[in-house]
Amino acid sequence: MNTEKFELDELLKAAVVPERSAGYWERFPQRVTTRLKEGVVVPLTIDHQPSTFSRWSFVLAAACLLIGFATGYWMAHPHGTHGASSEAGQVAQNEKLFREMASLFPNQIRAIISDNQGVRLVLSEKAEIPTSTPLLLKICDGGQCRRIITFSGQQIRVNGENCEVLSDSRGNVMVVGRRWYWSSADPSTKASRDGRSHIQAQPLEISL
Amino acid sequence: MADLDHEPEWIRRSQKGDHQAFEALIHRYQRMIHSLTFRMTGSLSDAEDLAQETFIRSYQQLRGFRGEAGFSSWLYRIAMNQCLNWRKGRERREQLHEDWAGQQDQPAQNEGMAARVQEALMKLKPKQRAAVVLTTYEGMNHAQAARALGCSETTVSWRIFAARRKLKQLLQPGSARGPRASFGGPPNGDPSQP
Repeated sequence: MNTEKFELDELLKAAVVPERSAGYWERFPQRVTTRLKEGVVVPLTIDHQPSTFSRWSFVLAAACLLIGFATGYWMAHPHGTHGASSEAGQVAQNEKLFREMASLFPNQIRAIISDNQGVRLVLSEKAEIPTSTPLLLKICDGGQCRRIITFSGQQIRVNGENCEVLSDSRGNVMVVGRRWYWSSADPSTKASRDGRSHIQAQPLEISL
Repeated sequence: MADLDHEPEWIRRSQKGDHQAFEALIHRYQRMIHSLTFRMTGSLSDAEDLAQETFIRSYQQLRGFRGEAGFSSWLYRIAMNQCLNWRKGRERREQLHEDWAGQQDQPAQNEGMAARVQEALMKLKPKQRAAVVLTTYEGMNHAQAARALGCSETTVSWRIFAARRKLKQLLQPGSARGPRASFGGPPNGDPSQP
């Protein structure tokens, strides 16, 4: 039995992994970090050291602006005054927030996320996000709600799952998970795999 | 050794968002992870995709790394989860692969032993393959493999037993599905359905 084991091990180990070029190994780490940078998240509570002055300026400008907007927003909309007019006001505030951000970072915004921890920008490092109508989504899961301004084709997380946001020419918004989808045209469709998340979505009426 | 000395510093800097430090970590572990993902997929391009996903996932989870286990063990576990999820999402592809493999009466004369072994590995159930890859190729003992796979040592032992029995059959000289090899049976029932 030991001989058999040894022979099988020999046989298995004879199968070497195909070698890749030296250039491949040189480039691979950069390819990973490039992908990380493509989806760079700029939290307001930044605790890491930016690598360059330009990154500092970039982050600082975004942070200052967002803090200003967030402060103004929360002063104008104290908790406990939510209603239809409040909802309309929030949409207007989100439109204003988006306009300002879009003028600062044209074609770079992947998403603007507002939740109980503040406002975060998700930016692409390059101006590569196609111009299209921004979409406002309100997603509530696990007792927490957040608002996300994003575009058709971008990915968001719902209940821990990566989902794609899509829209059609009639202004309907779809959120597509791996085994479920939600559509604003049929709000009864289940939002998230376990159906416990709630989504509202609408296009933002902004002329770009 | 110098790399190992720098590793805690690279991890600490990566946790703070330093991509350059993270590149150093990738550089150190990229071959290990590529090897694992290739053994699990049998495809260079899928192995590359999964290696990328492993490092991206590890970067996203790096703040949760407390160093109780070694960084390489932690990385192995992420990579293996990626590979097993990859298999789940590609059941149809796996079926096609098996159908294709089943149509081959015998490996061609010029087909290398490496391809034949990889083909045999791909015929194993993913969790059996994972156990073989970690122990035979990555040199882990059963306890280390159990930690990487998130299961018990007994389960790992059973998966390896079942995998080796099947590999022995598949790799018999002259036949990919030859007569059953005369391995001794395990002492108890199989709790893990390997």
